[in-house]
Amino acid sequence: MSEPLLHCSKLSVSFRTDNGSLRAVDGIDLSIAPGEALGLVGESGCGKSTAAMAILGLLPRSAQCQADAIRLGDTDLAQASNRVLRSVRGRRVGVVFQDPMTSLNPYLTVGKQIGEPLRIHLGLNASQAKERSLALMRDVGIPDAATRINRHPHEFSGGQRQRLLIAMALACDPELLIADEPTTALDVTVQAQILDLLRREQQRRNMALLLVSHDLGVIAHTCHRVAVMYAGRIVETANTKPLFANPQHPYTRGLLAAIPRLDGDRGTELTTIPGLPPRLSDGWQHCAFAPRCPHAEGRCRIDIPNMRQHSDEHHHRCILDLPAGDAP
Amino acid sequence: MTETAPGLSPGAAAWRRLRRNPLAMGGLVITVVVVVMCAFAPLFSGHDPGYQRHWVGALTPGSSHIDCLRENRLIPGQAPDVSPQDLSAATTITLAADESSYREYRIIPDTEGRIRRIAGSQGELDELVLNQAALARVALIDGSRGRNLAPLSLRRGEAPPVPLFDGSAAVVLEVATEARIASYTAQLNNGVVSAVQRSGTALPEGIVITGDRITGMEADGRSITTWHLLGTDIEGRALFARILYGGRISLLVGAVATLVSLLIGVTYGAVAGYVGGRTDRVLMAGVDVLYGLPFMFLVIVLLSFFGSNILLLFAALGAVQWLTMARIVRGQILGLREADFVAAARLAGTPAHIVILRHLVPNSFGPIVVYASLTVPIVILEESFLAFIGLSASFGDGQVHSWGALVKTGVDSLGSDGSFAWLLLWPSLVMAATLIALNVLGDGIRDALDPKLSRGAA
Amino acid sequence: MGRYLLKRLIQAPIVLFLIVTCSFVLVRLAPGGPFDAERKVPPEVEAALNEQYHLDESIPMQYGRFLLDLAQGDLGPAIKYPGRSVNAIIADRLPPTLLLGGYALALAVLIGVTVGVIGARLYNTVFDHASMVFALLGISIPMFVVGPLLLLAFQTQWRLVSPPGEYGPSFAYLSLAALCLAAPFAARIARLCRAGMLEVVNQDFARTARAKGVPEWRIVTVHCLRGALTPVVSFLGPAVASVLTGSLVVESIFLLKGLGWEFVFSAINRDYTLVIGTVIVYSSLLIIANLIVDLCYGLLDPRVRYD
Repeated sequence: MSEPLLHCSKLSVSFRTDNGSLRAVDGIDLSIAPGEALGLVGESGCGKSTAAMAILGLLPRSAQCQADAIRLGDTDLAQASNRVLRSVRGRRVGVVFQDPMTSLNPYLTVGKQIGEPLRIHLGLNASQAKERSLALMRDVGIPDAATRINRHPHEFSGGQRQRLLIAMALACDPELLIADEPTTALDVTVQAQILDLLRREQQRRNMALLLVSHDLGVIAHTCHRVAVMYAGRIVETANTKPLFANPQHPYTRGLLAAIPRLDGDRGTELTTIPGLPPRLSDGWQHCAFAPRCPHAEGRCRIDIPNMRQHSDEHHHRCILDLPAGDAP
Repeated sequence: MTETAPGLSPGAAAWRRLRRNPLAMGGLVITVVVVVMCAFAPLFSGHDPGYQRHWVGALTPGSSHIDCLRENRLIPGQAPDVSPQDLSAATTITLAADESSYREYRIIPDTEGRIRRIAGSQGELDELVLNQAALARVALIDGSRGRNLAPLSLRRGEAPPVPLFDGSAAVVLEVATEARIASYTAQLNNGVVSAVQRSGTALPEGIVITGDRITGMEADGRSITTWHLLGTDIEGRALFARILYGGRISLLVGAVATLVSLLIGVTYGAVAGYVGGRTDRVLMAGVDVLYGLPFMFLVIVLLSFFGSNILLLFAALGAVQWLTMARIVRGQILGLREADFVAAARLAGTPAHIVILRHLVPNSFGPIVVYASLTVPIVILEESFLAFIGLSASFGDGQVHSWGALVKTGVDSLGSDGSFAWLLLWPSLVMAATLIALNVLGDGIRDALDPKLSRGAA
Repeated sequence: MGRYLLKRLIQAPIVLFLIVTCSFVLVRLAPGGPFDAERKVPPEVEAALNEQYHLDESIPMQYGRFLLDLAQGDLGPAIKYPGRSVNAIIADRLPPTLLLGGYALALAVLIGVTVGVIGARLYNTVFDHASMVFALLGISIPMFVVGPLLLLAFQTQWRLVSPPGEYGPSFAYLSLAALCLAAPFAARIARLCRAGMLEVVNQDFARTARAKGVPEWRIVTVHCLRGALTPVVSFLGPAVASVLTGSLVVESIFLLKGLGWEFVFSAINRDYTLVIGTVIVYSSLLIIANLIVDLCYGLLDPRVRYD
């Protein structure tokens, strides 16, 4: 693998709550090469969004973030001052958030909002920024951009707002785009359009993409490589095809099995992973998936498993060697 | 991330959160202390809040004065009637009384501040000379500002040599002509006066001495004085007692007017929210229109034209506050109306008023309590405001006034040199402390009942 | 917007009419007349006075006459000021009240918003706690306590201001009075603004701005301030009414003879026409202020629709 664009090592995030500290992300390592699309997948509450937000220091006040390093090129974001972080946000790394309904400022026109990073980071004046914003709005497929640039967000549909958010994130031509569940809040028909837009822009700009989603289908559609998270840890990482073809971790297998199939018999029940996602504060002393794992043995409940290499770029965190093709 | 501890009802959980809030608990403690002290005022102050002792005047906090009555009777064959204290155990009572003669003069200014008239009890005078021996006390005719004057002479048609009028319509000068102290001794036998003497001469009829003449009082050689925690006002009324009894008015108005606003607001809001549709729109448009009314001005007109009594005050201040309550309740009920348990009750044929009372109002209890608790200090403040402009109710033959009126008295008494400051300080302090406590408590209740509203959690 | 304005403009006279009728009925239902407060006037004099002011007519007649005059902008003769019309007295007394009230409102908004915004930015710091303690004091301590203390300190002790002379109050003196009147409103605005700001800065769009690399001060001023001001603006409507009420007390404490002072005087002296006249003026002020506040909503929040 070439020199990574982004490399996080031992990234941990914990939240202070009334009932003590809650560890949402537990020492994960993450690398993204330039131009690569990495999918971060897991059930809700597994810490995937928190991990993504931690990269740019966008966590709420109650969160504490630790990392050995969060290297973006030659900058270490973990040690960076607020000033440096600000110069990276929106300039070198763009972010698209989950809920386009609340992520746009209702009080400002969309033109002002898209133009804002251009004016801050690139020092454009108002008319230059407006011109570029207009081009961006056209790029992301907003019809009638010239008249709608002076409108406020509430005058746009949900899908269009997500397009506006993407335009905003892409404004300064970032090296990396972090998309946090960009399609979750949208209608199914709009979801595909937004994913296509993301993939198209990613390829066109040769930009790296960190796509956070709970939906393996979304990931398969868009990403080169996948990292599966469970209870604050990465349990399996591989290129997309091998991961889907030959998942090694029982959790990944469970996730894949849970995708409803159109070609399945109408009578068959949907497969689910039994049990609930673990509570994060529990402080696991052994494999966190063991309580829900159909293959769990006694030794699964003794120690936290380390990352194991299955093949070249396929790593997982299960001590068992599951028989191939066990996936249903 | 706040979790409700398992097994706790929402009320109990809220109480637990409230207990953990030291500020709110401080507010609760102060509120309880103030309420208890005012409610059981006689236990905390033995003084009658309306009892005037003109002969005492304003005493600073913590000072004592000779304890005597307006009229003190030492009459053979009767129990001595000289003091609020029980003196039946004493064997002798000695009173020192000032027998100087007093005169009153009414000085009336003309528009330029010159003396227009000097009216004495014997008729009009052209000139009034007060010499060194005379002790002059000045009382404004419409107020009660007392002070001692140096020797001076006043002549009709001339301006007074000292700023006598201060803009008032007339001044009453009280002048003592000569100083003469007499001593009266009464022998007591089983709590009944047996003999009375004046400087050694027997007085078979006994004596009656007004309180303003008494300069000393002893029982068995022990002087009888009364101590005032917060001193007395210009009329010689015990300030501490006045604050406690006055608090009854302020707190009562605060509580009852809030209840009135609750009653109107909850009913109105519940009906609007439950019936919904056109009725709701009309009712709420009415509230909008009423919001635009200058309610306090109408209240002032009402009270000044009809005379203020406490019932009118309850109704008027309650009527000012119910609008917001109606809006809050209506909003709550509108949201709850669609809830499944309400639909279930309606489908079961429960009458509307039962659905409202049994299901909807109790489930909007939180916001109602929060708003009500924050309304109490507002009402108290409004009442004090009315009292300040002289429009509040009074108890005890118009002698007991609410906190606002006490503050007003303090403001009026305050000398330009800061004298009589305690008359402003203590009522203000008690009132402010109570209002702060109520506000803090209300904030605490809000945070406890609705953790989402509190800004503490990120 | 135009329709909304029209609706409000139609509504305003209805509200005014309600108030006029309300106060007229209130005043006339009350026992006693304007001439029995002082020493007893001879009956023939009282009858003459009653006739002069049409108090001998039936109440509906008086009401009709009053409305007719009012429609021509005439509030009638002042009963307690022989020879002066209510219009003239109000024209005389209104400017000081407007000046005081406007000054106080401006001070309250300026101080309240500044303190609230800084408090929210410095959340949980000494400044935040100290400003909230002051806000609590401001809400809880009546202005008629603050006023005399301010006067005692600034006028009597330090001699920094002097009482109003022949040409009205000095700027410093007026500022003191306005500060006294503004204090509780500044306190409430500071609390509302701080709470609003804390809510807005935790919203998603503030995070979006942060993710764009927008500096914190710009997030506060450009992105969040408008949202934080919404609760402040909705407070301003009732606040105008309270400022006007408060000026009754402040005017009497600071010896500023404005409309508030006149109103209390006329109410206590049962000057029928003057009471109703002042109430009408106050109501009009209130209606205008509320209209301005409503329009401010639209300026603040583009989502607000007026219909």
